[in-house]
Amino acid sequence: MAMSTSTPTSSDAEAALRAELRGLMQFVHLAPVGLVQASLDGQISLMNPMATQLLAPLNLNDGMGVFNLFDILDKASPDLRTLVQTFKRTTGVICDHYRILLPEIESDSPAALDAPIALGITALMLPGTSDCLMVVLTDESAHIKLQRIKASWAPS
Amino acid sequence: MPFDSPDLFDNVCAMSPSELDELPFGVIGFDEQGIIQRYNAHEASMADFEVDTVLGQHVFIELAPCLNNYLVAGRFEDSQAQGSPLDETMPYVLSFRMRPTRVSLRLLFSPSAPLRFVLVQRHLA
Repeated sequence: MAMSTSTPTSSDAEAALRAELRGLMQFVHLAPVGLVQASLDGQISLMNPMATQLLAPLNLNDGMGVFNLFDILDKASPDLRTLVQTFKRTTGVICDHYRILLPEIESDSPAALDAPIALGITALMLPGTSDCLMVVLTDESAHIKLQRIKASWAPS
Repeated sequence: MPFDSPDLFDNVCAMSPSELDELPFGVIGFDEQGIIQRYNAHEASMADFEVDTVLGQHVFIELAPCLNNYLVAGRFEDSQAQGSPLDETMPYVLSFRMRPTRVSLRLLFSPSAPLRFVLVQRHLA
């Protein structure tokens, strides 16, 4: 007896790939850390929503033209640019949770109190790429606020 | 209807979903709990999300975590707490398919309206 067999077609494979891509996009979309891919001169090619949120206090939303990570971070610290420029290897960790303080938000809105005040920056050169920087941004505000509270409790 | 129309909130509130689909900018309408009730065709096309998937999601947690901050979500919270209307337009950067994109956002809230809106106008490259 002949049995009908269904073999995957190219359109099935394409649909599966699309579904997989959509799932990966959603995964990165909801990541609770900022993810940025940039060239070695700082031009941003990819960034997830949390990265746009964490960089907002550095006036990410103002301005025109291309997005340059070093130019954006310069408003708080030029250190990442220097660390990348002086990094001698072709792969590896450039910095790990390098902490920078963000400028204070000028706003009367009570919601501005929730704005991040410090970022942790982890930067890597990915293997197999000659001009690709991967940067992970974390909100270090809670840690800094705790440090300040502890400092205010210290006996004088 | 232009993005900067002064009576846009009243018009958007009165429009049916199919009428919202005709607008040349993105419309995201959500209720007091943040649940998305309106998501027009322009926004779905530009963001590459399916309308049926987005409706019922939480706007600031599931759809647009990049708006869950003092600039956008906080403005709605402030306006609700103060019982005052909100109509503010601001430059913003959204991440569409992980590509940073400059847009204008218009935030609309009225204490007497069941829905509040984020409108998204993409800038020409």
